[in-house]
Amino acid sequence: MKKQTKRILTIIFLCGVLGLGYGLSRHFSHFNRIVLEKFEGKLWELPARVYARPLELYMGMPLVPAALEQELRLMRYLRVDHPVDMDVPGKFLRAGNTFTIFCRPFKFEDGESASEKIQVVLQGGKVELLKNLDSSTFPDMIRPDPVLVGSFYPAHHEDRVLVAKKDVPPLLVKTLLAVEDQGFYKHYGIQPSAVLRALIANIRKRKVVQGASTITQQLAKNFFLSNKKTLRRKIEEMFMALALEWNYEKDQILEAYMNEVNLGQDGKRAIHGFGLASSFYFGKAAKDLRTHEIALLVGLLKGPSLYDPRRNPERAMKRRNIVLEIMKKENLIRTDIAEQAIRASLDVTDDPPKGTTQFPAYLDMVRRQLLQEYREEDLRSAGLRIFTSFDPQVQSAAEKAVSSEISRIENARRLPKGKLQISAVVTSTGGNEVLAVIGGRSPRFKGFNRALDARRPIGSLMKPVVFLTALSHSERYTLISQVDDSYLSVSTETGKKWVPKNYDREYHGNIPLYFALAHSYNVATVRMGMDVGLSNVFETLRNMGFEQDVKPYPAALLGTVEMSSLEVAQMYQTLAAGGFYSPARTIRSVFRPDGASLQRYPLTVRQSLDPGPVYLLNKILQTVVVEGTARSLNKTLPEELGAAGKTGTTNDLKDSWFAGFTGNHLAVVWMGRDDNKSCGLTGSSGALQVWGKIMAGLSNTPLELPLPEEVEWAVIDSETGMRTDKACENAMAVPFLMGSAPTETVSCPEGEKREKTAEETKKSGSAFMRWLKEVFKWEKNTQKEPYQWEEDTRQKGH
Amino acid sequence: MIFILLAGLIFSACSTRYTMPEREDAVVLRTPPEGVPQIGAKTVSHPTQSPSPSSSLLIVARLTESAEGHLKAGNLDRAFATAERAVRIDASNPRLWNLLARVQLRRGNVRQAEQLARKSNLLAKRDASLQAENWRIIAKTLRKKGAAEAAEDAEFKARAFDAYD
Repeated sequence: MKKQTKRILTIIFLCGVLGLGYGLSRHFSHFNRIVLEKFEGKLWELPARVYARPLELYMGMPLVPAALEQELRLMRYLRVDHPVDMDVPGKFLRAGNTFTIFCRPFKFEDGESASEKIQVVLQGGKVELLKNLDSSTFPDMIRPDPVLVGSFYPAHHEDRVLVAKKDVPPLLVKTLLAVEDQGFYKHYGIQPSAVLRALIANIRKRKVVQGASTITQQLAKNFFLSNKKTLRRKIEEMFMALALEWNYEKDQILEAYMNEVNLGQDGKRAIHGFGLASSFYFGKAAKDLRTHEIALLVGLLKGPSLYDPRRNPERAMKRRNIVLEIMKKENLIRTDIAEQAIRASLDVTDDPPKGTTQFPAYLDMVRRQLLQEYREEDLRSAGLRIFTSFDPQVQSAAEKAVSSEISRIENARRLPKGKLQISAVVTSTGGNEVLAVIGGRSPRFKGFNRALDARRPIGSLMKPVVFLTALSHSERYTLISQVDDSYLSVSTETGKKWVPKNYDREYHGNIPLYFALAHSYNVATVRMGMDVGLSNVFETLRNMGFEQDVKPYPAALLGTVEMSSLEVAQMYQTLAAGGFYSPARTIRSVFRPDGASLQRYPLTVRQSLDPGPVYLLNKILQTVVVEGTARSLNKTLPEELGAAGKTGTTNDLKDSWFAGFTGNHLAVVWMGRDDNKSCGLTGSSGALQVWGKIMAGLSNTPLELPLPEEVEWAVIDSETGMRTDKACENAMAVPFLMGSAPTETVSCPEGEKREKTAEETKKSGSAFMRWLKEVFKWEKNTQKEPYQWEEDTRQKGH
Repeated sequence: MIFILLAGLIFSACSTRYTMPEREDAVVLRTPPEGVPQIGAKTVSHPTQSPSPSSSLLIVARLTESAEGHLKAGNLDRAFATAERAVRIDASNPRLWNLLARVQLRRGNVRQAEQLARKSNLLAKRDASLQAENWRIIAKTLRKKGAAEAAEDAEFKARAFDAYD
């Protein structure tokens, strides 16, 4: 009987053990699956980083010291005062016009920039010398890492910069283990003795007061579990830790831990991992951390908020020094170094890089372009690297112009303070890259993005569309055709009469076409627009790049069409590019975190307008600046720049516009009020002033319009509109589409004298004359409607 | 002088039989006459240098070199990206637009190759050999699009510019 009982008990015991084993293994495999799923998938949701265009430094590049310093600061380079402090990448030294920069390494789409010390000398607004101080060579160009425009964060606002174990100082790893888990390389995820000790302590106090977490357990807790201190969670944590250790190498676990841990807070943004914490607190890469900095970061693990070195410097210092003592005790550092580190100041940067962007309007535009092709959650989690054409120097020039001009205009015109709003877009004329965006009068404020979303009537900015359409009909309109600016009544579709008026409430009679646009005469514009046909005008508008569907009606000729600044920029870009349309781009390329290219947005062009008429129109747009409604620009910009543009004003002075371009930049500025009340400004008194200030702050090349094949020049007598000799008093040079120049000539005594001399010379060159005569005979034959200036002149006085 | 010559060439291309001009004194001019006020800002009639600062030429040359290297190696993305970098520095340089056109042609993007070559031509007024090359690119793209007649025209223009190289 005894024997039988013993046998039964043994069986029960074995069953129990088996059952428990089965239960435990079921439990373990459950957690094992969770761990595997997490590790095989994406460990972290990584924010997308949006970068500015890199600063390409090359010999002769236009650059002033203040702009370079400002950009270096935006690039998060620390200015130091002594050469000895130039110890790690991310620092610069400035002595007058000479900059020494310790560049950070960076991977671009078409090559890598190394971490190297360079010297840049600026002289006379240009780069005078570029020197690589490491190799003592003089490179043609240097491309430091770009400014970070902003990031798109995951929904939980965790931010991190991943680091590999090999990229952090070995001392950081050793310190981390010494402080957090001395037995890390020996245990299997848990340390039973420590657990037992903690258990006893907790039972004694009747609540959970002590943890005994290994690094593996901490990682398990962070990854999979809540922050609650319950027994059940503790047990789950242990299973998870075991599963982690079962499946992964120690170094993998350690690396994951170093990237996972929370080390601080910046507003809504949580700072995770040693990679980001290094730049957040010290403005450097993790591999460049010094002893006392390592100690501070490791000390932070105990309580990132409690020991925050910026908010609680004293506590942070105490905690750091405790860690330094441990490092000394464990022989991780020599005693003298420990002493020195203990005496060192915290050395955290005063001004931590903010997670929120300084350039919300531009970032908003980037986001919208991305959302056309990417899902929002991918933008927020896939760690994309997005390279844009954002130019911090152009943006800064635009912001400065906005802030100084808005208050100046408000004061000078006694406008109510704070009501005036503004938007602006600056692009490159070559490839239509968007360089800067101003979404409102406070550029740092993330809100209504007027540059994209405020659609307002464009007023006279529409006129070039009408004139371009007219100039395309060279048999009817040339730059000097007489156009009629006298009383006009137009029947609208609804049967009503519309009588367009000029801004000065006067009629100007017959005037040369170019003059009518330079002075923005409404009546002449409407008459011409009706003559060439509304549908043709609107087709020109579409060819210029305007995509909205609008119904053509007469008042649209004077700009009742509503557009955003960006849409206007797109339209004028096609003019600036000589008739070639390129879509406005902010994004150059998108890369995955592993460096693989995901997408490129290359430069594209499409000839959508004939270059000839565009050339003639651009000549008038230059006249607008030389002697027309934008002539006040001569106070801010040099005449040699040859800038071209157009003012725009709408009824009751509700909107003030200017759109224009130089050789390399195009800018559009709108000013007005959000409540759509009168802002009291014309295009000239408002937007033009800001435009001039923006352009004056940029490095512009002169606008030299390339001469299309179908354009020729003739010397014209400005009084009669006939051809004349260049020696004559009223002679002026006018471009024409081939075959459209007037054929009648008028001379003057000076001209006749010159002609006589020429005649004598010509005798030796009769072959040329024959040729010339034949050319013009041919030309005359091709002219369908010969130009009739005299008749037009007679009509004067209507 | 070259413009008058080219104007003559274009006229002759229009199947006329004119003898070549021997002197520059035409009433209709390819470039604005000197010493007379102009409509708009003053046009430099015979610019001796590129409109962009001449100091940028070296860097543009380096980038061009590098882009040509990538193109030769068949590394088309890099070739295009590098040429674009150069365009950002000097967008008025017709050789760069021609380079972009050649990269696109190599890639088989005939539509862009044609347009980029046309853009290059607009800027290449002082460079007959480049215009010839652009017309050849345009001819190729037109042939690929099946526009045989337009392609022939383009080839004719290419030959005409060749003659004046």
